[in-house]
Amino acid sequence: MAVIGGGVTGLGVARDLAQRGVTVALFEKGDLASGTSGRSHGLLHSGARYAVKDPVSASECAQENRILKKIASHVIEDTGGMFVAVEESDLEYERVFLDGCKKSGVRVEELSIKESLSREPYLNPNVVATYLVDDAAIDPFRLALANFLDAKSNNAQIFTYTPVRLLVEQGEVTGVRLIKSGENVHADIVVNATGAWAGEVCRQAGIKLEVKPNKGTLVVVSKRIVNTVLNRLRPPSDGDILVPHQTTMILGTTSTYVRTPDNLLPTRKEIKLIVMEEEKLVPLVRRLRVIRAFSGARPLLEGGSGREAARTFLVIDHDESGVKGLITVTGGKLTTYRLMAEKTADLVCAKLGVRAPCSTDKEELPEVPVKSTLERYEALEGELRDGKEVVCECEMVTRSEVEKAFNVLAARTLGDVKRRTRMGMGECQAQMCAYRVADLMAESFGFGADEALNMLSDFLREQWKISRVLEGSQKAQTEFFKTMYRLAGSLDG
Amino acid sequence: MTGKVDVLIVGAGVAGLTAAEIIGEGGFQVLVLASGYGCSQASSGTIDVLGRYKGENVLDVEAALEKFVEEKPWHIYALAGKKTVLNALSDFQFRSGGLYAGGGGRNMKIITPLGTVKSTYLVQFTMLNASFESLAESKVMLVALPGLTGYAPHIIAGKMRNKGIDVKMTKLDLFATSPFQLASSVESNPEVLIEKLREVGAGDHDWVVFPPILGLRNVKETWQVVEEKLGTRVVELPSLPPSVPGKRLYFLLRRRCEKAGVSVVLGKIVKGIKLMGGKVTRVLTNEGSYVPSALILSTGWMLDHVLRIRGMPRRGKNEYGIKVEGVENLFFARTLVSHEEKIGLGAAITAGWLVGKAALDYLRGRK
Repeated sequence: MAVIGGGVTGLGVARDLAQRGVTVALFEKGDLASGTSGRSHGLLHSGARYAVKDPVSASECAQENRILKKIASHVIEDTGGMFVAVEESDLEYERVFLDGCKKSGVRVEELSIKESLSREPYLNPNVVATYLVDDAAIDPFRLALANFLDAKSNNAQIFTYTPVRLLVEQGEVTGVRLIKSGENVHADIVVNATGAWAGEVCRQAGIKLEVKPNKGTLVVVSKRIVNTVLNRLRPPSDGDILVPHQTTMILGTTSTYVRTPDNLLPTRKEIKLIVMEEEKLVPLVRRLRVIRAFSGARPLLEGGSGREAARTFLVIDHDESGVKGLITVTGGKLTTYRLMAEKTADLVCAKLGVRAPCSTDKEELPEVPVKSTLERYEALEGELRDGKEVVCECEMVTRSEVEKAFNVLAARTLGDVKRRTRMGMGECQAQMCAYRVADLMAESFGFGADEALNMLSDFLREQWKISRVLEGSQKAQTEFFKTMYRLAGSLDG
Repeated sequence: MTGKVDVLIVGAGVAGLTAAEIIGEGGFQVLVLASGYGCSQASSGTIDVLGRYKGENVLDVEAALEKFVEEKPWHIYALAGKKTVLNALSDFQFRSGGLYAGGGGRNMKIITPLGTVKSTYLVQFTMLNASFESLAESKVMLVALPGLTGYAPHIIAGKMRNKGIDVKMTKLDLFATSPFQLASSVESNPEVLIEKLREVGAGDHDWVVFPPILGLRNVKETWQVVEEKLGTRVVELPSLPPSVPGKRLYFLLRRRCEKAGVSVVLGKIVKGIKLMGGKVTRVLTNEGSYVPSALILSTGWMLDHVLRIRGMPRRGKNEYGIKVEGVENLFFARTLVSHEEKIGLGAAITAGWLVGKAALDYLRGRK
């Protein structure tokens, strides 16, 4: 069995199959969760958002929300969510919203405005109605890592930075070819879990699959001033969700179809639009510093506008259209990744004649040996007492956690360390810690001096990509740090 | 606070303080206002004039500047002219009381805090031998201080090994809350550092290479004591900000300004200016306003990115000059940092010098 794609879906498939005793190898062209998973809102949907237009997706979300809160509680911050009507016109949506939630089994509870304001004092004081739902914040990186660790412990083999192509022999998919080494890996079945890239992979076997990459932009602000996921009570639109994440808040999103899911960058216009819309939920948002923005590619399945397209998923057995050996899973949401993996693994097992049932809905995901920032703040006193060296002050990442990222969690680059530990996700955006972690790599992980410098250069170039759309003090800060690295440090590239 | 003053300078970076000293020495009353300590301590303290030109490392600065000013007539170097640039720099070096070394129309290659190599014009004298060439074929002890940020010792050591230098790294357990505090405590009591280094056999090496911690205000003496007592040659590397060499530079400029009778007030934020009859007549700050005969804005690139000053005359996108048309007593010390050409404080010194002289001429002409 081979899986292509190391996002949460692919890792979920690997975990599911490995638990059922199937021999799995997973191939990811970049790092774990470096595609759509890591560029998501990090929102564990209650389903309420889709209750009106997409009831199937809504009930899937509601069901998976409950399951994930049980099996993955350590990567979830159960913040709860609110749907907030901020204008009288929003109330036109209220009735259909409540009906939709009822029909899809999504739990909703009315909350008095007084109660909501005492719960979230920075909420717009002019709100006209508020409802409580079961939304939560979920860390997509730690979710991916937990699946990775579980799959590994059941003997799955996982290869990052290993791009592959489908191996097609006489119209049948027989495995994958490793592009870098040219090596062929044979597999009875290949699962294409590449999300927005699924169409590209299918094309390698001559299959036409309509997956439209849909760009969603998200904005990170430096302060966390709400503790509940906030949704605007209106038909899904741009900039109407706010998710508190660790020490930051992520605002979003937008929706535009794009030709390719690669190299998506936010535009200044998108950032402005999002901040302007979110101000209606939390007026103070305008005065917070935008420290970063990023764009991900949703794998949407049908035509119509991006907001209309279904968020449900598809598991496609290409045998039915004459190509043996390939199964594609695409569409869906971060929230429904486990269900997508279960349905895919069911189909694989039926084909392989494996009887073992799915257990991923009951078995808890393993602990990730790197703390979240909030846990770190709690443990801070003890850590410092133990004399542990802090390498990233914004997120309080310790040296031993960087070591674990390399030794246990398969990190290979500075970007990988960032995804695993949140190093560099805070206010300074890695500028003060990047060279220290690069130095640590030269010290402890067998990197040569030139290799470490190249890695630092690549990482910073990636970090600075966003600087042309940032404004004000964040822009000035980025320019300052560019000067620090390029002039004082004479780092080129 | 409100006051009449001959010259008001906004910004206490290298350009602002250089201009302040020149005007103060000319006998005029100068007041420098700044929101913070200025950018000098955010630099690595080396004076980068023109490190690279058309992709090539520059060694002969004089020759490279000649071509550079021809090609970029809008640049501060071209406005000053090659000769004035070099004069301003040698004047700066002369007045540094021995803190700065190098110059003479040529760049030197030094090791950066990241272990790369940079061509720079003037360095603090402790760094004169901070190059792979000076350390070649010798036995080197590289001092690392866990917890001290601002440089990458393991990468530097790796680079040294790649060049065939026999380098041994020593980690010293000296605790400090900041590099400034560490440099200051080494200055007041160098024995602790010396003792720790003796224990690890520093004296058996040809060179002991330090991050810049050998003194903050009294570098010469601190450095000499360390070198004598260790019985070996000692060299400092530059560091990333917040850097001790940058702070030393700041102290140097402040001392010189003080001698020239310049007043410096920190914690002031300029909010707006008033123009009347082609002149700046009033400068408004967060605390009070000022009535200067001339105003110099030496706020670096902050002016373009962050600062919002009400009433500022608009300048065209490509106006890099030190004056703006139609306002006779307003001067800009605009420096142009360039990552590609490795231009840094060299431009700041030139801009400060040029603006200082121009303002001085203006004030003298009024009398």
